[in-house]
Amino acid sequence: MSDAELLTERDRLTERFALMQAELGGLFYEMAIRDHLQLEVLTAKAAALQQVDAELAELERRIAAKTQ
Amino acid sequence: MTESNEDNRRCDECSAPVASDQRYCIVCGAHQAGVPDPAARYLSEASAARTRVAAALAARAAARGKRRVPRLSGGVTAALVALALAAGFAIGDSSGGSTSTKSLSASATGTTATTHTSTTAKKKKSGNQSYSNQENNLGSVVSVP
Repeated sequence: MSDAELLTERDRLTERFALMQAELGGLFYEMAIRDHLQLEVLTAKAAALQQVDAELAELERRIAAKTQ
Repeated sequence: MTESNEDNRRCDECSAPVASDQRYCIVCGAHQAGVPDPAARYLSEASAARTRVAAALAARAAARGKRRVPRLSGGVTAALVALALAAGFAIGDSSGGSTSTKSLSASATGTTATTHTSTTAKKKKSGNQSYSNQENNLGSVVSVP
């Protein structure tokens, strides 16, 4: 994967991560104000977010290794 | 997506009942469309702004690259070629034909070239003597190999 492709993929994953994190926060807020916390739903969303977070970290590591 | 009924809206993912101002289904966690969401609006605006900036930077870089390498028209190119040829002929005429002949003879006779030049200088003083010296030089060149 070229440098430009790596940077494009990083931007895509960063945007996805930000969106998923905002969704997780929004979902928790929605449950909290309605006094209807569903921990397993929140945990599933957090697991998906963790997957994207790991992909992003791996991509950042590859970009850092290429620039050195 | 949710159904259009305001009071009996249901989640499109799990069909659980959702309120009209509910942004997320609290049963399955799906995002509900058609409900004002400031976070989603902010993210989409930021993404669009970033895309616009990236496109503007790319366009500016492309324009700068075009300016660096100006294209020459056919007439200008032909004029430059003609000018280069004329300059080449002028340099050739000013240096004279003897230069090329000298370099050729120098390469052909090797070390005797300097001797030949000196005999040519002597020729102005006495013609026959220098001619015999030239013959001697030629003879030595032929006999060397």
